[in-house]
Amino acid sequence: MNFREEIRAFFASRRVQDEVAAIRALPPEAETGRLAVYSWLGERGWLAPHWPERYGGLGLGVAEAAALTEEMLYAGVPDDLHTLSIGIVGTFLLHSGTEAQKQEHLPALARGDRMATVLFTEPSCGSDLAALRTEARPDGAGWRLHGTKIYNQKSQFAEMALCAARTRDSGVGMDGITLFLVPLDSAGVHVSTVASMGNDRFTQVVIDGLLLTEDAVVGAVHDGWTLMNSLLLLERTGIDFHAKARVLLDTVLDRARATGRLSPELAELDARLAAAHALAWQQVHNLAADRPSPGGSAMAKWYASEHFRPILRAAAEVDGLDSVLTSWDGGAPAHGSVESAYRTGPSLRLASGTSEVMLYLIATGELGLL
Amino acid sequence: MLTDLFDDDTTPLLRRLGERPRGGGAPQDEETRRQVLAALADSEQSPAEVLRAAELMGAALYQSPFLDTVAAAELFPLSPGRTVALALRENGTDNPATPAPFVLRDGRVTAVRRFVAFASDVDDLLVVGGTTAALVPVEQPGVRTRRQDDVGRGDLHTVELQDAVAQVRDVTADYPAVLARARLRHAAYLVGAAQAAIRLTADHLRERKVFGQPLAKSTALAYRLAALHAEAEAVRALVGTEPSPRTGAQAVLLAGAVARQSAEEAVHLHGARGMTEHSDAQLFYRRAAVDAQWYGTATALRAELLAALSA
Repeated sequence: MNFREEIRAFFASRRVQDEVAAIRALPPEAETGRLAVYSWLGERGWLAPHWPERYGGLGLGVAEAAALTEEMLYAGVPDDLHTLSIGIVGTFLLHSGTEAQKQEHLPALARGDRMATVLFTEPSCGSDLAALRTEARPDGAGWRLHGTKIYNQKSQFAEMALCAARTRDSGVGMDGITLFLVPLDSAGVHVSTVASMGNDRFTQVVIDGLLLTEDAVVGAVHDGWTLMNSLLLLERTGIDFHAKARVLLDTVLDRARATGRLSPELAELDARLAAAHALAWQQVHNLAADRPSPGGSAMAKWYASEHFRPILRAAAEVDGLDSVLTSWDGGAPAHGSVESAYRTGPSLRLASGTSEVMLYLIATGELGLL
Repeated sequence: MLTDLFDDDTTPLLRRLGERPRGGGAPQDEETRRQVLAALADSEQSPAEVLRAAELMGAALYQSPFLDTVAAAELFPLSPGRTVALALRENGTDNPATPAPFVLRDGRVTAVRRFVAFASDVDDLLVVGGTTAALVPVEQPGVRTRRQDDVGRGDLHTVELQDAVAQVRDVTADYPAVLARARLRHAAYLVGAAQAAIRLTADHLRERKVFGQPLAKSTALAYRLAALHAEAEAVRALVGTEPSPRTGAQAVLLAGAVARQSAEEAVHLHGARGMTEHSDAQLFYRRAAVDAQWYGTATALRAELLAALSA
């Protein structure tokens, strides 16, 4: 069996399917956190198959990592905590962490024993991270942090987070940002949740005088902006966004077949997701060849995530008012998954860089505009 | 190198080739067009290279029987240098996936085919009807061609075949795959055209100043072009995947849409000048009307894909 067949067999196994059934049976607004399936994947080295073996991976390529994410989502296992922990924080550590940081954190992240999230956005800055206000002031041999981070997710389930803070105010927003590893369970860090329309809540993390040593700095001091721009790119392939859209479309197609409501619009959406899939995999192959494409990855993310809305509109045509019934209602088609996708939907065009940020990257990087 | 034919200098010239005066007559630059075709035909190419060439041809809006000949060679062995035009439609609304049958008597073909490109230039016509294909030499008494006059100022013909001599074979087994690859090549051509129209327009936005600054500074305009560019790239990625009847129909459906929309935006964003003969924007616009539905209208392609989804 090749890697994809192996992970497919794993996700089709009884215990994983039981866990997926339990997730599907959750009431609306119930949020999943640390799933047992993450630990089972971690035991095999499959949470981060592309990391070197000494850091808990299998030494495979980014294509295998993408296949894992894809199969996870196709199987109905939420990937958000996995993406944050491995795809973003793990990637930052792998590329820019010190050897001590790598040894301390990567094996634990790869096993799923430790989870990490991302603290970038703030009440007054989202897409414009150069405007962030969280401060880190030199204090003895280390740094003391003050600030509020919001609209991050899953921090209530994680031990640590990668936090962007201002270490120098030079008048140029992009200069003087530094990335820190913040232990979320320390005194001086307060994690609370903010209810969202979607099942997953946002988290607000207030950092109130947390003292960190130099060992907590990831990458060079003041150079966080460069790091964020170059490394977020490595996670932005569109693979996850496509898989989420595909799962939803397949649900809608099943409903349409069952009710005799297949339509030409659905056939076109199916074609468009085939294109989204091809474009996402092109980014993975670019990464595998060590040729990441900022414009390409922006296009892949934008194109895949833009399809959530038309699929949801088509779902409303297929099931009519039944499509609005929640998982709490026994009469809901597809266990209320269409209703829950409708509430989650807007996040896809906002998360990991908004649609407008993607269009900006395409317009400037690919077409020389703006 | 094949790609040398379509460099930045020659591409704008190629876009203007082959435009015929209304009422017929050979275009003045017929010889250049033939030379490009000969160079294309002479080069040995892998399927991926043909796709790349198709994109470049699209960017140059280069009209020739080249892609039709490539498709025909997959059904009939062709002697080197022979060119073929596909004759798949009786009516403008026909879907080439289900071509109207023709009459076959004693191995001779009687049929009407319209929208046959370069019928008067090529050596053979590949007429497909039902599940039968016929390779019909043009130079014979049973073949009559009449040029049609279309918005793309191309080289479309009505062809009447009356007991025309032909090689005939059943293509039940291979036509779907041949059509799928032809559609993917045409989709590559359309993506090339779409992206060239987008780049032409981006160039214009950088040059044209309005209210004291370049139009390129306008987010509203830049984002529209960026979205079209991403649409085109997505189709381009799809074109590069494993050919199948489904992929072929999907790619040519999406490519037709993005080629047409890019051409519409090109004319609009060039302003009134975009509607004049001076501007290539109108060339993209004219060609898109023809090329976008060359392998089926969007309605026909969606219906075809819907039937596959239902199966």
